[in-house]
Amino acid sequence: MTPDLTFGILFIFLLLYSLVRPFQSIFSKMFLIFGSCLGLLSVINIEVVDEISRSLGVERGADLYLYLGLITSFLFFLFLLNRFSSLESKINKLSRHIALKDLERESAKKEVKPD
Amino acid sequence: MFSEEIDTSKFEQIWILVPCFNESKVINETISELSKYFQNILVVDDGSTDNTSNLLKSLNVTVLQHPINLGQGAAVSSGFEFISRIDNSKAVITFDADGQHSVNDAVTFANEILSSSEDIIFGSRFIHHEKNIPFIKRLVLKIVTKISNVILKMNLSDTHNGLKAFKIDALDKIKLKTSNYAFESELLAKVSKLGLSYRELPSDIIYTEYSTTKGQSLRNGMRILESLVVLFFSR
Repeated sequence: MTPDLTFGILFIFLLLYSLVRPFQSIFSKMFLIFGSCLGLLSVINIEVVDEISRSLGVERGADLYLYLGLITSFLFFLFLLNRFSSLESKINKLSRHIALKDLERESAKKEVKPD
Repeated sequence: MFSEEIDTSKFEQIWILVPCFNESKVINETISELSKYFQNILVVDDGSTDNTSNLLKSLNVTVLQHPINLGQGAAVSSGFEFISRIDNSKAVITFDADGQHSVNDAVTFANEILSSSEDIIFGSRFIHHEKNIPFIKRLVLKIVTKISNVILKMNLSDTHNGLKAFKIDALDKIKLKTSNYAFESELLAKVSKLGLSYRELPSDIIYTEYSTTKGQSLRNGMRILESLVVLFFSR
């Protein structure tokens, strides 16, 4: 299997996946559709990507990919940070709830115990 | 110490909140000193992995046990939540478990929070006791305090001191989200935003070899600065 064919299959799969999968944010969906279309175009005809990049003010298609890659990495990093902080907050709430319940249970036990 | 001269019965409505993590070496001494003056002591064991939780069982204190280590901010928050649910409580004093704070200062804070109109009393190492602070620590604290005051529009001489007194009404308004050392910055931001009244009182810090190794490292200083930058942009 040639690299072109491998990447072509991968981008088709990504495009179908982005169309089928339910996303919480419309931006994520559009981002994946746009990225996979651009990838597919670069496999079919790299010159079309060069044209698109030139129309956007970027000299080469490869540069456009680099910029888009950097933006994607940065957004992904922010998304992960946000996810971590949300998870941390949930774990905190859960642990606090457990601690308070345990203490309530122990206090109730002490009250029931005869001297 | 001045246990004979003090009427401790008025401290019945005051809770001492001691967040702790792996403090088995000093927790006994800290609690026994506090017990001389205060009846209500809540220790939040933040998932200690040493003998701390076993030691706490033998002491006459209320223990809130986090199943895992969440951070000092989370421990303080849990303590606040528990104490604010108690009907007759009037104030909370936060006190570090590592034995750095003077119990005499806690007594002074307790008297002040009961008699004064301010919502919060902050402890300051820079009033009367500045020379006790090691040079590097003093420098870092001064930088952090300056930045905090500018960003949060406050006027404090020490923004990151563990000894503080809060009226219960003020606690109900402050809900902390930050779980690590940087929670102090979030706390100050809330105080500033909500317009809570505050003042400072001197608090001495006893720097022992143990407390300096356990205390806030430069890495935590970086976390505090990072939280201040986030606060600045999220104003």
